[in-house]
Amino acid sequence: MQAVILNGADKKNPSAAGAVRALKSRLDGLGWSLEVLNLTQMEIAPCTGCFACWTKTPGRCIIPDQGDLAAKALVNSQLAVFLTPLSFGGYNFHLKKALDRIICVVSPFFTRVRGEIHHQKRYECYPKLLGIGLCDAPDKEAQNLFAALVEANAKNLHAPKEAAITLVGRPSSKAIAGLVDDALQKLSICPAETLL
Amino acid sequence: MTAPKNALILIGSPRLKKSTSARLAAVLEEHLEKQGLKVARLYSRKVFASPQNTKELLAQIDTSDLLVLISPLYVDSLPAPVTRLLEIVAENRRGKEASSPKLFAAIINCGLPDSRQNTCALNICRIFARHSGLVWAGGLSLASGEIIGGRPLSQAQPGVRRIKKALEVAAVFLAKGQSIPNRAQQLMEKPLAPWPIYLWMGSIWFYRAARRNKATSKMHDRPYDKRAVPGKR
Ligand SMILES: Cc1cc2nc3c(=O)[nH]c(=O)nc-3n(C[C@H](O)[C@H](O)[C@H](O)COP(=O)(O)O)c2cc1C
Repeated sequence: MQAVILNGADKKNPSAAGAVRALKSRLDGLGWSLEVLNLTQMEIAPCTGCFACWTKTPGRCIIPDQGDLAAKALVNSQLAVFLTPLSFGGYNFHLKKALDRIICVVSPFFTRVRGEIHHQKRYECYPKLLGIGLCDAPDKEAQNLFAALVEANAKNLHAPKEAAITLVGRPSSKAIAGLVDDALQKLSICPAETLL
Repeated sequence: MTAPKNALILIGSPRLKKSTSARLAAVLEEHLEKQGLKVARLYSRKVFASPQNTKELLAQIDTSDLLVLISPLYVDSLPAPVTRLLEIVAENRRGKEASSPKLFAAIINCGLPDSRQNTCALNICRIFARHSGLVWAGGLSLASGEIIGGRPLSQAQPGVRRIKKALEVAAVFLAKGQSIPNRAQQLMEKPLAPWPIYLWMGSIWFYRAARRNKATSKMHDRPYDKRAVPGKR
């Protein structure tokens, strides 16, 4: 099993580093491999809205930079983690520039997903989604919005399951591990599933 | 809030002048001007062309009484450059909140035929306003944005009259320093075409675009599938 973390936070951000460590330790224990894409250090230009990834080079963005790494990792994983400092309850710029470039993983044609109209799958399988938001102080409105955004993305990206947590302030390693455990449980990523 | 004297419209689409956002902006600008406001327009993508541009934008925001963001929906939220713009503005507004009250409104358009898709993006805008000491004046949500498809609203199809009316109502209220009323959203969210027809048209549009690029046979390709068998879907 493969997991990828799309990390929009600075590598030195202590909460982000704690979340990566906690995920690594849990997933290692379950026999998963983990790839971390540190988006602040990657060359990813913003999407130009041209739809060439659907109509010219289907499945690929035409911008020749590192934007394709996120799409590639996503469709070859069973878990994708969106790790980001909250920007007004949403993703920050670094995560967002990568996500805007991954619409190539779905098809331009339409279907229904959980009662809503969305784009059809391009690939057979898509990863479960875990959103980890980071914020300095409690902000219920922003935290709720983050969970709603992860849920909306799960529909857009055909994730079979999703979960969202926020790390407020500078939580201890133990607190982070606890939240990550709960989220993985919600995603049914636990020893039982790994044995299947 | 006192009535604003000047407004700045921020256009969030990377398609610039050929975007639905720019066409909505043109109509809103016209109505705000009719209400006596001085209006300037800026493309968020150009803001990052140079640090000088960013500086100029921040200065322009400082002197505007009303800010309106008009943007497409990208993956359930705002496009990355718009996100960056809001991050920079919030940072720049720190400490200035009380000194210069301003109104902030947002108009988001999405491709899918369901205006609820824009809810997260509008909520991001509302929280941005709170973080930046701006007075949230509400938002408008437009679905099936590709029906306008970057054409001037005057040339787009008849249902578009309702969108123009919605923008007019919004302009009248914003010009008085008031929030956009529900009536404007009700006008904005009436479907421009029955959704099955819109989806059918959309599929044909994508197919034809692929045909022009000689890519129809590749439309279902899975280039990143490590398990893929070449030539097999
Ligand atoms: C990268 C990207 C992501 C998009 N994500 C969504 C989405 O999540 N939901 C939706 O309804 N439309 C989505 N769209 C469609 C646009 O919102 C739609 O085409 C819009 O009308 C474009 O407006 P503009 O011409 O002002 O740029 C997306 C388009 C692009 C290019």
